[in-house]
Amino acid sequence: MIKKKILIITTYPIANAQHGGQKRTKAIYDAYKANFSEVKFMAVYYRGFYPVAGSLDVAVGEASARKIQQSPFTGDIIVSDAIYREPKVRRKVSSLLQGFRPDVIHIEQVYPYLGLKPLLKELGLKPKLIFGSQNVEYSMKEEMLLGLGVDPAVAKAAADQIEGLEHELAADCDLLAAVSTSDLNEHMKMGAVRSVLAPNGIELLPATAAASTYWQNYFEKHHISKKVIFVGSAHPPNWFGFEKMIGNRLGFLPPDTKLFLAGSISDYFSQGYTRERLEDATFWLRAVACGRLSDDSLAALLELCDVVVLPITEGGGSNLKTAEALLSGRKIVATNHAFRSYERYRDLPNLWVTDNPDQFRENLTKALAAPFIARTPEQQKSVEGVKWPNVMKDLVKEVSQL
Amino acid sequence: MSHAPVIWIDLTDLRAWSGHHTGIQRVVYHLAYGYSKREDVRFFFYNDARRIFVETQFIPLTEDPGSSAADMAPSLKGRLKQKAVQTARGLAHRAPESWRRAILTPENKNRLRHNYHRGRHFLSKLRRSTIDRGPVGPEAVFSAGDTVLIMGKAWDYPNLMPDLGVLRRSLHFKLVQVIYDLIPSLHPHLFGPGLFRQYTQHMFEVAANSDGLVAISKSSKRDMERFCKELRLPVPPIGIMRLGDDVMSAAPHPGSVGSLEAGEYILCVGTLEVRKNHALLYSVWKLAKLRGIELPKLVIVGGRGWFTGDVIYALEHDPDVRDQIQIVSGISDSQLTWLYQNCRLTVFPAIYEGWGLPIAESLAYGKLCLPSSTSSMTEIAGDLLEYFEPFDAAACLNLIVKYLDKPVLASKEAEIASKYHPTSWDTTYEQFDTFVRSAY
Repeated sequence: MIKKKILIITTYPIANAQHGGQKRTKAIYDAYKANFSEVKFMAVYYRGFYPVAGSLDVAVGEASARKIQQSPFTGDIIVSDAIYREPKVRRKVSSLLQGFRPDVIHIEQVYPYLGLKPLLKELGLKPKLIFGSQNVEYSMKEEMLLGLGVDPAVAKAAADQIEGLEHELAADCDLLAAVSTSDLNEHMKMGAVRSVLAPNGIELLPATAAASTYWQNYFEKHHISKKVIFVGSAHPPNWFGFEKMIGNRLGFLPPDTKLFLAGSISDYFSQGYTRERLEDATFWLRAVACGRLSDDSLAALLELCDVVVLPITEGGGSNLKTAEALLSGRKIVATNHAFRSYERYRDLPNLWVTDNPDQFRENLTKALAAPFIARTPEQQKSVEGVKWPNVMKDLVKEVSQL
Repeated sequence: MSHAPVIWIDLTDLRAWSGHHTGIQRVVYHLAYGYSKREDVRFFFYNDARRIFVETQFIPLTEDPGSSAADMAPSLKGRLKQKAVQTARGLAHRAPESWRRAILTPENKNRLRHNYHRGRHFLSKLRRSTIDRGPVGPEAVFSAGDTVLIMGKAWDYPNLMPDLGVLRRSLHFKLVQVIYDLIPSLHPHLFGPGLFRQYTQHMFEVAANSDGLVAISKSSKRDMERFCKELRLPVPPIGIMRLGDDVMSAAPHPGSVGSLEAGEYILCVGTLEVRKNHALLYSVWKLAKLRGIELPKLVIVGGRGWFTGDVIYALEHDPDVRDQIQIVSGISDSQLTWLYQNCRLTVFPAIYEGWGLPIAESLAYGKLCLPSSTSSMTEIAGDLLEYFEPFDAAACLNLIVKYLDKPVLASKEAEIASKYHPTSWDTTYEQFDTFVRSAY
């Protein structure tokens, strides 16, 4: 155990981790806990997005909550600003910083630095800083806001603010931990000196017999022979990618095939595809909204499905869903974007990659019909490298040397 | 032991239908009749309550399913319905004017009509369900190499296609279906609420699960191809058959119908519903009045369908046209035959059709029809007829005026008599069966 006090700070709790960012942060926390003497985690967050939180987590107050309700997709900026500007939040964060006196603060995603930087200065604290990068945030945020129809001037202002913050943290940090080589290079250009690649990983639990039986009965009852799964949160890039690469006109899927939508992404489709349009009326003949599944149920569905689709077209970083798909051993139909930072697995069998939407759909029908090819022992061993403890090794090593 | 391939004919529609055959039942009957003469054919129906396919027998009728001497007098059901309508109207007229205005708004009338149709649909389902829960015959055993033919309104049974699809995938028989139209999916505003989703889902599974389709017009074939393309469905082979229109078997009604005089009216046949576009005819007769053109009486034959309350109110109450337009419903085929035989000409302003049987019927009776120019309607007689756009009242009026000239009309009728050859149901059956044999 290495003697070091580390505080991780984010804009979302990791209790009941659901989305990719939460899972990654939880994995970082677990890796630090396993290797360093004292590790604490704190989220400054909005309760409307995250009803479940940990004991040190601080929810923003009413004033910030109202701002978030008006502009939910800039919620991360608003809660980060509250660290310094909202008295109650500032008091709690200050109290933790002064009481714990961390040697290292790991800021996962750039946002908390907005309030943390002035607070650290005010408190006269100078811990080592780790910039945990999951994306090049400014460009992704602008793209996302424009995609949601936000006024371009507003989107640009938000992107400019985030870009400035990324430059500041890159220049100020003692270590940059990025998920992909391209993000790492981008943030190095912004001023980071020392860096480590910490790709996303996965923890895939084996399914229980009860969960597998549930799904097998479901398939039998509904006469489903072929199963396709898309796992995703209701994070806009997920539905943008799905709508671009697969779309809501699912006639190309054979009648005995169902596309299972797992995770909060299915809420988006359930609420969105209800109009008097041909595609809305027929989407659910081939798709199934699973909602948020328990880890066990999701593991069983992944084990039993034929194809995992990764229609990811935007967003930075590497993708947890890709690691999950690789580890599941199922056939994969993906975009090149989904395989960012997993390029070394591109030659695995049962994998179809394209960025052309028509070709993507064709690949999906091909994958459904294609025979399954077993991996060699070497290929399987290499895939095991995507598990969290393996992908965190380099980060732990670098942090221990800070 | 090898199995001799069987052609299985679905009679679900005929089994569920208690009265006089309308369009689709007539198609099912005539095609089934054609097949009934063959050795390799068996019949079945879908039991909705038990979700099974049951073998049955086809029993040919002793007279044309679309015409009957018994129709001369209204049936008990018809008499009860007429009485109910008369009573309701009587009550409405006795009610104070202020009540009538408050309650019988066009919107409420539409709502009542809509609920009436929903109620009828529910009762029909209840009746079917009651029958289906009773004793059943042997299940139809489809096998590899067999061909299953669906020719009726299978969309009324939401489980039929999924159930048949599952069987087809496991038993590997061939499935061929008749496509009437895609109107509820592509033009949902022309129907009441609720049908769009059910119909669209049905047609989606039809396209996905069929080895071949037979459309009743080139227009319906095009619409099916468009539907498949829009939903990224593979397009199955689609043939076309022409529906029979040899309607001359019904004996004309002795004497005139109502107070109508032979040759003194223009006829329009079709249910009063938005799609049939009676609103255009109202505009045509109004326009004639404005321009000082004297038109013959317009006789509209058809039951009252959905969302036409405003138009019917105008037709019945506008002083300019109320004596010029007569709505007739609940008549027998022999009365309809009289109306066709004695009209000046017919007009058919529908917005969209899968075929347009009243056009073919009119021509089969030797009468000129002036139809609108969309969808399948130009396929029936091509250049033999003149057309108008379904939203162009002036064009329709001009055509009517042109053919009010007796020598012009006589010349056109002579051309129809020499060039229009009604299609027999035997021909329809031959076209359908040729496709079935060659589709795969």
